[in-house]
Order: sequence, then C-alpha cells, then structure tokens
Amino acid sequence: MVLVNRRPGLSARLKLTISYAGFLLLAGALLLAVVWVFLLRYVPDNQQGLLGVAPNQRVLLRVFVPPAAAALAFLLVFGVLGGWILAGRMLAPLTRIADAARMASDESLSHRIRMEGRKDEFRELADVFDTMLEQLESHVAEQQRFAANASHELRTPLAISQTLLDVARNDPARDQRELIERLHTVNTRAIDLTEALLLLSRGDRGFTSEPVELSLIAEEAAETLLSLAEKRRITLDVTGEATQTVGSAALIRRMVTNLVQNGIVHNLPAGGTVTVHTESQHDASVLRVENTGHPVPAELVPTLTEAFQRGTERIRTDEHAGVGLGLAIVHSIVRAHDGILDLRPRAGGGLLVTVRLPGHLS
Amino acid sequence: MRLRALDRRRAHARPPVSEIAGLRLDPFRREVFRDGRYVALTRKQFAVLEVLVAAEGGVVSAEELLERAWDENADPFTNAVRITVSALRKRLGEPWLIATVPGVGYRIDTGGTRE
Ligand SMILES: Nc1ncnc2c1ncn2[C@@H]1O[C@H](COP(=O)(O)OP(=O)(O)O)[C@@H](O)[C@H]1O
Ligand SMILES: [Mg+2]
Repeated sequence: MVLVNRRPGLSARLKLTISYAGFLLLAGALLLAVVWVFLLRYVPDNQQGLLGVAPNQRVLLRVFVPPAAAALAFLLVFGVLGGWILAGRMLAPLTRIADAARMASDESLSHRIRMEGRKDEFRELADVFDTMLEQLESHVAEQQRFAANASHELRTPLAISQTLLDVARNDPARDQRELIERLHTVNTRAIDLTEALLLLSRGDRGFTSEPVELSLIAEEAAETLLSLAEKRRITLDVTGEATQTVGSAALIRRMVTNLVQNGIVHNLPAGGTVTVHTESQHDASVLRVENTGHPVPAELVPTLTEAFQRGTERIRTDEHAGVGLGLAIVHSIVRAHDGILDLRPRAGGGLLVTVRLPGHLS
Repeated sequence: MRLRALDRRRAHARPPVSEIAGLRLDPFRREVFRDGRYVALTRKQFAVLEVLVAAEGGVVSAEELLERAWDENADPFTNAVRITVSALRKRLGEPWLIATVPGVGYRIDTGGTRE
C-alpha cells in the first residue's frame, strides 16, 4: 500500500473554526468602525460637548470602549466555540467516508457507508462512494472466480498427464507410442486453453486494424470445420455477400471459428444444420450464425457469454466440448471492435447469433 | 552486382505465373486477378483453382481435386470439393469461369461466352 507522507498540518475542523471566529471578529470590528466614523463625527471635540448638554468625544470613548471590547471578546469566544461545534457536525460525514475508505483498502470491500439523512454534497459523495465500492467488490469477485476456474481447468490436463506418466513408469513394457499420442492430445488441450486465457486477459484493443472481408473469413472457418461437421452429419452452409469491416483479421477469424464450432458442437446428434450468413446493413457488417439444436432456455442465454459458463448438456468425454470460454472470447473480440453481439434462442431449438461490426467502405 | 544476381536466381526458383481466360494466377504470391481485378480467395479455393488452371481447360475430376488440394486423410464422401468449387465460382464472378461437367468433374471455361 502506498501511503503519501505529508507534513503535519492544521485539521480542517481547526481551520474552519479559525475562519468562523475570524469572520465574526472582523464583522464586529467593521460595525464598530462604522459607528465611530458616522456617529462621532457629529459629536464636538470641545469641553462643553454637544449644545452644552451632551458628552464630548473623550467622555464618550471612555464610556463606550470597554463594553465594545467585552462584546468583541464574547464574539471571539462565541465564534471559536460555535465554529468548533458547527465544523465538527459538518465534517462528521467526511470522517465516516474516510473510515470506510480505510476499511476498503485494509480488509473488506463489503463495508458500506449507507449514510442516512437528506441529500446534500456529503451524502452524495457517500452514495457515489458506496456505488464505487459495490462495483469494485463485484469486479474483484469476478476476477477471483475467473482465476479459480482457470486454475482448475489448467490443473485437469496436468493431472491427466501425471497419471499417464505414472502408469508408464510402473509398466515400462507398455507401448510408448500410445502414451506419446495421448500426452500430445492432453498437451494440445492445455496449450489451447492457455492461449484462450491469454486472449481473454489481454482484453481489448492493442491490435493493428486492417480492412477485413467477413464472407472470406466465414468461408475459411467453414473450410476448416467442414470435416468436423460432416463427422457429426451436420450440414454447414455459407451464404450471403461480401462485406467489409476493419479490425484484426486474426481476432475476427477466431471469433467466426468459435461461433461456427459452437454451432456444430451444440447441435442435434445428427442431421442438424449450421448456416453462416454475411451481409452489409446500412453502415454495418453483419455476421449471422444460426444452428439447429436442443432448445436453449431464454433465461440461460445472457449468461452464456460469461467465462467458464457452459450450458446444461455437458459431456466431459467430448473432445470438442470446450471449457466455456468460446463465447466469452467472442464477446471480448466483438467489444474490442466496437461491435454488438446478440444471442437469441431459435423457436425450434438451437441458437441464432448475430454480430454487428462497423462497416468499412471499400 | 551480387545482389542482383541473387535476385535473378530467386526469380528463377519461383513457379511461373499462369494466365488463362482473363485469369492471372501467381502461385508464389498466392494472388489471383481476374481481368486485372484482385480476387481474395481462401486457401482451399486457391488450391483448387491452381489445379484447374494447371489443367489448362481440361476436365479435372472431383476425386483428383480432393487428392491434390486436401490432405491424404480427407473423407472420400465429403462435400468439400462441391462446396469449395461453388464458393470459388462465386468469388471469381460473372461470367462464370468454372464449368461443371456433370458426372465427370470441373474445368475452366476458356471459350464460349468470353472473347
Ligand atoms: N450455437 C449454439 N447453439 C446452442 N447452444 C450454444 C451455442 N453456442 C453456445 N451454446 C451454449 O453456450 C455455452 C457456452 O458456449 P461457449 O462459451 O462456446 O463454451 P463451450 O462451447 O466451451 O461450452 C455452451 O456450453 C452451450 O451450452
Ligand atoms: Mg464453444
């Protein structure tokens, strides 16, 4: 923790008190000065006084100065005392806010100020502070969840490797080639997972933008995934027109590949379809990936883009069933390109995913 | 001097650029132009076009395309060739350059509507 080392100074309460009292004294002195200038002007400065009946200036001064000084002294005491109390009351909310901030930096983010009373500047500050704490807390919780999930998923392939190696050591006569093959598969999975995590944690931006043609990327993705689709007896179609956008070709390829792979993997056991469609709409480049499949509950849909969020039907043995990072990566790529991602369940089952990216005039 | 000599030698190692029916295919830079206009192609589309261009208008069967443009363990019953050829045909634009010879295969249409 960084603590700024400041030289000790007067507290705000003391400063406020001094200025209250100071202003009070100043006002009193000013009033006296006005009285002096305007009233005493008409009092003659000779022995007889005014018309021989009223006192002259010297007498008046002698009588008037002591009570005036007493009044000023009272004002000073009153100003200091009243100022001290008033400043204390005014500043009390600040102390609570500072306490909450100290608590947040020391231990728990769960503490809230929850200041009562009507709205004023301090209450507003307290409310803003509470909101900030809330966001911080949920952000930190999400990061912790992410880290926990990530390490858990990373441990799985490592544990499998360990088991494979143990088995091989205890039984040296076993076929080495099969072991190497299986280790290779497990290792590839770990690398893929690590790369996905890196991609997600690097977050947004940080790429060089170039013109990208979406339909070409859609066809490339379909090319690489066609054999997977055919193995599962799923028809994969690419339709639509050429449409230009700008961004990172590598990231957009990754996005389309993830979406098409999802369309294939989360489809019917056989006889399903996946349609990839591209088109220009107004100023936008639109990519649509639509697939048949089991019904997707509408309330589940918004959660699917969260990292490590998997649908309900999860089969561990399936090598293509990911760990739930696919749509999280798609979401972060779309965001980095200032695009809009829309997921909606199809009436007959399956999902319709629409990505809208800023268009680019070619 | 030496640089230029190197350059010439490298130029020799390059596969030659082919031209057929208004199509210009540069295998070294993996670029295709039709009537001077650049056409972006996917890897498989380029590989298929390369085989078709090498046949110089002759018919190439789907099996041969599969063998030469895909890897050896491609599923023989795959639709990959049909899908890639139809996408390639669309990318090259009209007038259609790749003709289907029913039951036999595909070829580049060198005559006919063009000239
Ligand atoms: N095209 C789709 N059709 C149906 N369900 C899908 C589709 N895409 C994603 N889902 C659901 O969303 C979940 C999260 O997807 P994703 O983030 O790609 O993770 P993964 O594919 O690794 O499970 C999937 O487990 C699946 O239940
Ligand atoms: Mg996925």
